[in-house]
Order: sequence, then C-alpha cells, then structure tokens
Amino acid sequence: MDPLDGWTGDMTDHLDLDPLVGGLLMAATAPAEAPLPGERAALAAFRAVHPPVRKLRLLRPTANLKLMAAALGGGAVMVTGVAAAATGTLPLVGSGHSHHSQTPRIHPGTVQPTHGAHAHSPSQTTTGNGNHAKPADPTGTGQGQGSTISRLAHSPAPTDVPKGQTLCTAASQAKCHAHSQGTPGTPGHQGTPVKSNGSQATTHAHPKPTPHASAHASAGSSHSAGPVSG
Amino acid sequence: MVGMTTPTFAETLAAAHRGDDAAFTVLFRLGQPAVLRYLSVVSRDRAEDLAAETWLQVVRGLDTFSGAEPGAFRAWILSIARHRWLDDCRARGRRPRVSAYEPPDRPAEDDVAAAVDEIVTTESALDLIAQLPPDQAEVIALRFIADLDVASTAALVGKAPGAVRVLTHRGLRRLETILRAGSRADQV
Repeated sequence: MDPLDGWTGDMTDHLDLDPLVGGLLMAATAPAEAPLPGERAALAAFRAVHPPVRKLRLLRPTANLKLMAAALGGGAVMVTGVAAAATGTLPLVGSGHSHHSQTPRIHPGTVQPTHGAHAHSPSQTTTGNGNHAKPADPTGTGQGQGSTISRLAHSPAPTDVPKGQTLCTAASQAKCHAHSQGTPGTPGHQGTPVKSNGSQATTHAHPKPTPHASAHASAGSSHSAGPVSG
Repeated sequence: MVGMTTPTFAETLAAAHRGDDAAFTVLFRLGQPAVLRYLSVVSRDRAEDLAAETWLQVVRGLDTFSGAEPGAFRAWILSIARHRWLDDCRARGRRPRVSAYEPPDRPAEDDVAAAVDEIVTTESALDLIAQLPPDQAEVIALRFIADLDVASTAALVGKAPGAVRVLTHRGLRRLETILRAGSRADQV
C-alpha cells in the first residue's frame, strides 16, 4: 500500500465522501428509467427456458356432481341389465319366446323336425339350417318328434339298417321312400324329390348312407338350403 | 402476488421459479441497472452485449439460485456479468483496459459546485469512474453502484476485504482529484 494516498488503516466501511465525489456517485446511481435496455430480450429468453406452467383446470363442484350422477346412473343400468339377463327375465324379449340354452345342436345335415320342432310362426323368417327348437319341456316328457329324431341322429348307426334311411322314415312319419330309391326298377331316381301324399314335407335321401344323414324336412315349403321367408 | 401487500424478494423469486413473467421482470429491473452500469465501467463499448449474455445465463441458472435477499441476487448476477466480461476479454485477445489517467500535480481549487453541476447524467458519472485504474473502478462500481458490501465485493473480485477497502479508498481519492482538476480547468 502506498502510504501517501491517505490510507490510514481504517478498515471500517464508513467513508467520509467528498461532496464532489458524493455528487458523482449519486449521479451514477440515479434510478434507471423504464424500459431498461434488454428487457424484452431477457423476458423472451426467460419464456423460452421457463415455459408458462399451465394450471390444471380443476372441475367445478357442479361438474363433479354431474359426472358422479352420470356414473351412478350408468352403473345402475348396467347392473340391472346384467341381473335381468342372468335371471332370464328380460322384460320385452323373453315373453313367450326364449331360447333355451340347452337346445340340442343340430348339424346342417341333420333332420329338421316337421312338426312341433319349429316354434316360429310361418310368417317368421328362418334359415336353411335353422336350429330353432321349441323350448324344452321342463318335465322331459313332451320333447316331441324333433327331439326323437335328434337323438336318433346322434345315436350310433345301427349295423344292419342305414342310418339315413332310419332318420328319413322317422322324420316323414314312415312316408319316406328312401329305402326304395336308387335301386333298379323303382320310380324316381337319385336326388329326385318325392312328394308324399297329403304332406308338404319333401324328403330326399342319398342312396348310400352317410354318417351324416342328409334328410331334409321342411314343413310347408319345398326343400331349400337358403332362407325361407313366409 | 399475495393480496395487497408487496411481495417479498423470496416470494418474487419463487414465482419466477414457477415461470411467472411478472416476477422475472421484477428481478430484471432489480438487477439490470447495476449490471449495465458495472459493465459500462469495466467494458465501455460492450456493456449492452455483455449484459444480454449475462441475463441469458441468469435465466438458465435461475433455478439454482436460492438466496433470500436482493443483495445476494445482485451479487450473483454481477458475478455472472464479471465472468462474461472476463471471457469477452479473453475471446477478444486483449487485456482489461488500463486507465491512462495521471493524477494532477496539485489539488484543484475548492470551487466544486460547478463541477458537480456538470455531472448531471449517469453516463457522464460512469465515464468519470471508468477513468480510474481498472481494479479501483471495478471496486467503486461494485461498492457504490451495485451497492454490494465489502464482503460480497471481495468475494466477487477474489480479493481480501482489506484490499477491497484500500482500493475503494484510493478510488474515491482519485475521483476527488479528477473532479477538482476538472473544476480548475473549467475555471481557467
């Protein structure tokens, strides 16, 4: 330190400023006038680094109540529907026309019952391989001819009599002539439908029995593989 | 901003941390005058550019600052500004300016009123401070313009507090000499 510059070793921060120097420092520290240079650039940089935080828009209480009511309503409808479906008491669909889940599965090639198997009215549309059946009789006694034929179709084939012939006979109530078709000298030939007297049922059977007997029976219409509309 | 009361510095800083533009503007207006005037003293022609670079770095590092007082914030941004200035000096391949000022042979007359009246603008006052030797000018700028205490100034410039006081005293004495010399020249 140069002792000639007036330094006396006083280490305090209290300085006795000369009026000239005091005026100078006051001018140097005068309040700055807005806008300060560089403010826009600094703010732009700030926005680039700190993107504005988007406040989570909280749902208002009324919206919360509406949402809760809608959820409760939807849940009630769903529970009611599931319960009704589980008990089989659907109010509109189940009245007088319910499909039993234990309806025997009928292959397209199996015999359709001619009487009593169809619960549909003639005006209803059925499919060619429609397997609609009358609701099962709870007592098990009134299964009808359809069930009999179905059991017969699913039973093992007898050894001496062709199964198709047996089914044809049963389905046509002994009016089927499948046993006589395909043999020399008999009227009609293979694949030709033979109408039975007094019955609209038309049956035709293959001369050679097949595991799946294709005895088609359709009440009130000619044989058709496609949909039949009444 | 809470209610009708003026937010504290800590609240303003917290709001700026959350991305509040208004809070950052408050911080900018709190620090920019000191930064710009300090850089005007130590680096005359590059002050605004260096200030812009300083604030870019301040923005990037704002989340790391956790001081609770405006003085600490000023010291922090001035340290950034000083590093920007030193980096700029190195990049431009030149040493910090050395004052060409030579003290007068004898003190000026005591008619100082006219000289004070002439120092009417901040720029002229800064010009006069910038005529001091660089270390004295820097300490004067930090102590009186940026309003830092001795400890903060010493930490900033990397000197002991005693050395800062000595530099401050010498700078003030030299400023007085300059002013009186200018006053005498005007009278002549």
